[in-house]
Amino acid sequence: MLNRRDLYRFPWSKPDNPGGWVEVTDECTLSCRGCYRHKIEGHRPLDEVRQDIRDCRRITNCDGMAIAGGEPLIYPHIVDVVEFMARLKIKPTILSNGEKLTPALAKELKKAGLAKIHLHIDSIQNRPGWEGKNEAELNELRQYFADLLYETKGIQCGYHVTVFRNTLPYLPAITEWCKRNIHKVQHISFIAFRTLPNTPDVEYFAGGRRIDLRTLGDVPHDPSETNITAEEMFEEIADRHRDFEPAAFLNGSAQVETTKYLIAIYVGSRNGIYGVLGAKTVELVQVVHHLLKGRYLSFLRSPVVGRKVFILALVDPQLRRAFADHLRACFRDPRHLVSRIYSQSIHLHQPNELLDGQVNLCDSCLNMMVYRGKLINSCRLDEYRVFGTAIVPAIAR
Amino acid sequence: MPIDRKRMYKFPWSKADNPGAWVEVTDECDLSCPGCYRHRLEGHRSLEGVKNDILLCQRSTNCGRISIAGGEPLIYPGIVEVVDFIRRNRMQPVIFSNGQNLSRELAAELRKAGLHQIFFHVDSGQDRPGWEGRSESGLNDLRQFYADMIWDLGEVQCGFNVTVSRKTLPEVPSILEWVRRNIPKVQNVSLIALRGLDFSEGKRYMAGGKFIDTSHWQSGSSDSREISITSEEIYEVVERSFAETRPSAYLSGTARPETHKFLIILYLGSARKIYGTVGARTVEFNEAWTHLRKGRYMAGFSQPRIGKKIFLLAGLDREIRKALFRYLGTALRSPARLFDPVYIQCINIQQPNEILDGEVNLCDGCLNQMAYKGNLIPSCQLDEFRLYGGPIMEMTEKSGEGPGDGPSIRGPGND
Repeated sequence: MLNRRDLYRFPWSKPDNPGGWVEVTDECTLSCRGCYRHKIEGHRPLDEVRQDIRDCRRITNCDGMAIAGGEPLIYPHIVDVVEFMARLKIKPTILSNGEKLTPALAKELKKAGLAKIHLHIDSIQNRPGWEGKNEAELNELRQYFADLLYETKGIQCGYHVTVFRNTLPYLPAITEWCKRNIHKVQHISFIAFRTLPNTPDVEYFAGGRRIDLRTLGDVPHDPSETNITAEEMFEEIADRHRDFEPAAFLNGSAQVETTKYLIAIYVGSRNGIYGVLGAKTVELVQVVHHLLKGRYLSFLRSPVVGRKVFILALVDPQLRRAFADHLRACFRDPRHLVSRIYSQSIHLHQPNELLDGQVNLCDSCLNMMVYRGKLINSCRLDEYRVFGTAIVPAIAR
Repeated sequence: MPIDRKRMYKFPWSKADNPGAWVEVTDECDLSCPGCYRHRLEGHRSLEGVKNDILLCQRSTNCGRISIAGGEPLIYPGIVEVVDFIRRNRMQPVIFSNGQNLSRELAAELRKAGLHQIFFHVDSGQDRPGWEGRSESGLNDLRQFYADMIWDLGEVQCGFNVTVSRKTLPEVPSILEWVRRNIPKVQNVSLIALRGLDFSEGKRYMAGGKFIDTSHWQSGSSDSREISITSEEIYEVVERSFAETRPSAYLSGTARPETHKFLIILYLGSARKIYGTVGARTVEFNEAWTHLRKGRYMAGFSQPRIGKKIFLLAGLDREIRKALFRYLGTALRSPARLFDPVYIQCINIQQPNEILDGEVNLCDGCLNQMAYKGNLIPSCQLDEFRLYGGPIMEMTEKSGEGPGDGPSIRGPGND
């Protein structure tokens, strides 16, 4: 069981946030279930994208920014966007399905200053060539990309997995694979599937008018599909991985008790996992970074945290256990003495829920973007693009 | 000088990790102030219900202080017990009152029960019996009366709330003039911009999928200018009169992050002179350090007589550095000032709940969340829940019907 008081609530907010978001295109080579994006505009003009990046930085004070879409790697100016961001000293992360990622493009992006790629890979995508494969079998594809980026040297590798009822039981197997690859994989997000329910008891309004949700082309769904919680995903993983202990969280904007982000950070080397970082370490890293640099930390530029991290064992009981485990490992097998120490973050996300008159969003969301000069939640972009403003649900009483 | 966000600290507070929370003990009151969010529906609440709400707030917000509000909490029969209950649960009890029922005996009893601070709502819009027709500066006599009473009591901190309307905005400096002179006695002043529903032509409101009747809704105006004073406007008025004023921290709006919902100014000074303000760095360091040590954030100060040791931070904080220079300059001219104790005082400019372009813009990181039927809600929205079952949304067309016009979609489901 999770106890909130053992976890650190990130100190982030909209105007002081480590993350930002920009979309370069709404075109994509895949059509994944659960995707928020509709094809409306195609590739965006580079000047507009640059302006949004500048505005986003100004409004959010972000340390890193996600370049998303659509599929950003089919955007013709993707290298320019990365370069522009890196020049502003924002750490660029590309969110991609990986289909267009070649070793040559990876090298070019690295040269432009790309810090990280998050690859969206899951079994619901029905990728050409991987149809019918389950999540465990897709670890092979994940391995391919992890190796590719490891060999490129300098671009960190992360994954996104949308979680459905039928893929929930595979989370331990994916986690297992990630832990084994801690030297190659720095991040994974497990994102519970959500979509707007199209049922008779919910009406939708935008800008003071009733709207027809079918304009968004969303298909009806089974409500049990859209209620996976972060806690459920946690139980599923922790059941098999006893060392899976989250350190920090974000709560819901309308319902404070919901957990929107739940974050665990492993420390280990290619020879094995030693343990996790605790809440105190995460807190210290955030506040010290903010005091010194004036902004919160999105992620470290180098995934190698080194043995110096164990100094924090003085204040962090979780890290103390990890340090002890590391010492035991060194004693058993001297290779541990010389192997590099990495960190790997595992995020459990639980996106939007509808309440009457409000939407329960991620409070202090990392993925805020600029749309027409205004900061909005990126998950709601198409509400603005199609209806001009955010949708408000009304649930009949 | 316009507000520069880069020179301010954004408080790290959130719903789940917040220094403050709110509980209401009654919705009865002996005044009817314009801008009051509360309607008389339930009267005094049961002590049991109040205690449960306090514990729920503590659990869900991690708060270190609870504001006891209403209605007028001093007419609630169990008020002393509520204060005592909060104190016994290791939080600071703070009362928000109009002061009318505060006798010296009750004050002493509340102090004994562990009251940390009392905020008096005193302003000219209230039209108090005996003080009718007074201007804001005319009301400084009444403020002085309460400030002296709390000062004589000892141990309890004193604050004031002032609702700022278009009419009283120019009078803000005369209030602050008095407040600053009373820095030993007055720890907080909240200058709260008047807000309410916009009742102008064509505005209709909906909750729970139905249009609602707002004819009984108390706070609002058919003149939208009356309910649109921003914290920047109030700040400008303050800064024009007191040039050393600098805000050090803020809270932003939920729908419009560029709005300043709380704007905090921390004066440093003695009864004879304000030396300057505390800067963002010090506030940040204090919040971070308190949270690392105690596992929760802090609002307000444990020791308003902060002393000259605050000047040690001049090396890190340019605002304190400026205050130190003024202090040294003053001491050079009249060395006796070196013996004056140094106090800290907080001016909080607030721009409450509002609807901007159809979106509800609340205070992000609000200190005044409360429990209602087992859920945490912003206290300013309580009567939306009590009267209409949930938050109000604004409708622009009378029928509420109409297609959403927007670009057409190619893609999933529509290709």
